[in-house]
Amino acid sequence: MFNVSLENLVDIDLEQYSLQDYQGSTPRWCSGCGDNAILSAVQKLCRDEQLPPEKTVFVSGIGCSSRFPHYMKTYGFHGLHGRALPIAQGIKMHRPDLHVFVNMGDGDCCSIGTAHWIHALRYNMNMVAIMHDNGIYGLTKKQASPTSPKGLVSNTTPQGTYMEALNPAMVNLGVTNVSFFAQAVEWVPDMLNDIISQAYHHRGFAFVRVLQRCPHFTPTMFDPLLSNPNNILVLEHENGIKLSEAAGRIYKNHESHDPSDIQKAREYAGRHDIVPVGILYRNPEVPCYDEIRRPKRVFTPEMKEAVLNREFDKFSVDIDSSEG
Amino acid sequence: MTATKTKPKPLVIPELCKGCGRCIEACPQGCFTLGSEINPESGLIPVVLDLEKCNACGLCFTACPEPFGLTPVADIPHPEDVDHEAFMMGEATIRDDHYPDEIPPQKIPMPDLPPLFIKGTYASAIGALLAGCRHFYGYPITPSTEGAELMAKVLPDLEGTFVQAVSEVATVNMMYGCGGAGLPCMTFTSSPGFSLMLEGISYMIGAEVPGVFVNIMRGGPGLGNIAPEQSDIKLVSRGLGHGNTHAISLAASSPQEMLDLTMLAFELTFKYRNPVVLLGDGYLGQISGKVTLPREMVKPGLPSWAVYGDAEHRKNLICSIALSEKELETHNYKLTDKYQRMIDNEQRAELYRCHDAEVLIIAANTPARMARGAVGQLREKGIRAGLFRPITIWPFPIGLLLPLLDQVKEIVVVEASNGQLEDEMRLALSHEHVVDLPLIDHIRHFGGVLPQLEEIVDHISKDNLFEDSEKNGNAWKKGGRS
Repeated sequence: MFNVSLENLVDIDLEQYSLQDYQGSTPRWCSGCGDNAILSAVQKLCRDEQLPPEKTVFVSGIGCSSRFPHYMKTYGFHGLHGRALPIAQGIKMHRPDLHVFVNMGDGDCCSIGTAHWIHALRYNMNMVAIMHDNGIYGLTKKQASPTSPKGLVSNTTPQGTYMEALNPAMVNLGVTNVSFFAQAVEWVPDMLNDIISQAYHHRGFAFVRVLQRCPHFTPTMFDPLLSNPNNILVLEHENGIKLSEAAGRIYKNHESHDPSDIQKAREYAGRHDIVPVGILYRNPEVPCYDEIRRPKRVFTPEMKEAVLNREFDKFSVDIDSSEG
Repeated sequence: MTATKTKPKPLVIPELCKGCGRCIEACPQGCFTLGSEINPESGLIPVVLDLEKCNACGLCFTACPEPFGLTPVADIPHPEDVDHEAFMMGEATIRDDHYPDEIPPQKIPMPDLPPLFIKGTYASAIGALLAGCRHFYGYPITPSTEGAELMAKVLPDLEGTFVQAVSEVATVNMMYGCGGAGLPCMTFTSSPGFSLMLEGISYMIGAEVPGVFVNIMRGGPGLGNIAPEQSDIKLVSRGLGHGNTHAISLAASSPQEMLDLTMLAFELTFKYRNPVVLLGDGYLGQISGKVTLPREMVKPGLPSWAVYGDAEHRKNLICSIALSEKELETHNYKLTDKYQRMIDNEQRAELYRCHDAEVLIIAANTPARMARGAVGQLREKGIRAGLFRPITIWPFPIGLLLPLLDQVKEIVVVEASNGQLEDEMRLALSHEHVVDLPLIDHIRHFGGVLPQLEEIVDHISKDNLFEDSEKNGNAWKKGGRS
């Protein structure tokens, strides 16, 4: 009748990646750890975008969050404490064809790796950086981190932390060449998936800060957000995330925010009364260092030889004539 | 007739004067006025000087913050002198031998207290407190963090400072500053963190600044793991950052020693104005043991060289820069002499049943605990074994090893590393020109696997050498010894 056959509808030869194709070893995070939610969102993204595992690399530093590459069946690089971003930049510079993801914790990114973070924003290379922000050092068993809220009692701050927590949103939005900053909470999968997907599609350095529960050391840290969804301000926009109807019934506190407006984004970032969730800022026009530095033409072996010879000639000595 | 000396009048060097106007405030005669013309060479607006009322009081010289911006007429710098270090660094680099009086540390008797049952890192932290350390800087790293956590608990109540720095690099530089002020300070770290501190340690050694580093060594290289290894013997002995560096490194093998050697480390770090490293390993940091408190604790003094931040110590300078080749060479000779004094005076080792030993086990840290047990079992088997336990890894206690060599027929180095301790021993033997070596054997483990007592006993008792020796008289296979 319509000449429809199964072959025409489904290309059975086409290989499709399933979630299992991205699942590495079994996560050894504590049960209830927010890292699990982030892992599941990222695996879903890989499946939805059909990212070839051999063309995808996850780079991490040191910390609970940095176990991430072990749990992905892609390429992975479990790097040094605080240095995940430079490692990822090295990879991206030479292999622009790879999908590069970076997983860092708050200690990793905001403490020992701060300098690299600032400059990664300025370089604006095509990659997705996810900061797992639980506001505590979990792997070394409960020491305060730069994003620990003021007054938090930990093993190195038995009297409570003395300083206001560092606000990663303000830092991101204050650095030259910032091109994408989003904030998410790991316990609302819809919004997390949406944000991570948009970060992946962004041209440039996409930084996502994910607020993440640590059930073992700071089980009550996010209670104000969990028990009262009105403390979360969802920023929606046709160019940002869209709140589903169901989620809208729970997260009643939402506003429309155009992610191209950096001044407004900074305003939201600086608010203390609520936690903004959504895409705060996006500008795909910012130049990317990896694109600027990509060779604009092909170099033949002859051209390469000529370059080397020209340089060596500057320093070569004619022994015969100097002796003569 | 007394010779009169004309006081010099000032001269403004327009290229160097920024026009800050301090001389205008300083001059009681009103000789200076703010300029109104841009100097074409510097792009700055220099002050204008009118010498008509000048009585050569000299107040303007001290007021001028710019070296040679305002200068006595007699001292116009020769253009070549402008490159001179004093010009670059200010007058202070011309080192002054006049130091304020030193306030010596005091020993305060302790009451009799019952022994404690604590883990190694705690013992070390308590040792530091009893040695007068009130300044702690650190960064969390397993398996050393508990020591830092104890300091975090108690230091705020002792009017001390505890800072969780943003990284090990920040930590070591905080110690550089604190040590430079002449105060006892310390950190707890573990191998990867210690690697990060090496740059700062080189600066501290160069600038002769004290500080105690407790390194609870873990498995390497790279991230490795958090299990015990003696992975940093090479670093502390041969690799403390760039340049001509050495530091005394002490190796503890029990919680008691973690306390005692931490106290000793503070004494030595001020004695030599040089950092001191205390080496533990992953187990030693974590195992608990009985720790007897010392009879005396220390109230730190204030060394005369300290840049303490008061009027008396104003003349002092802490720096590791010496731009002129000759000055830097002299400084290095001075450091080398200091290292030689450490080698001559600070070698320490424990000799356990060594007096008649034919087989000498050399081990430090936790492996030494197993070796000690092995010595007893080997002796029961009729093998005359002994344990030589270096307490200073650098300088290697070669002076205590040499007298044993006449009777020793075999040395077995038992360590949790790739021969880093053996290398130190061999280097020390070589420096002493010992060519007539006994046989040197070893047991090595990595990654948190430690040499076990049975393994040491089996390894040594299976060694055919001893059976041979009993059969064949004295036919020893000895490397280099005929």
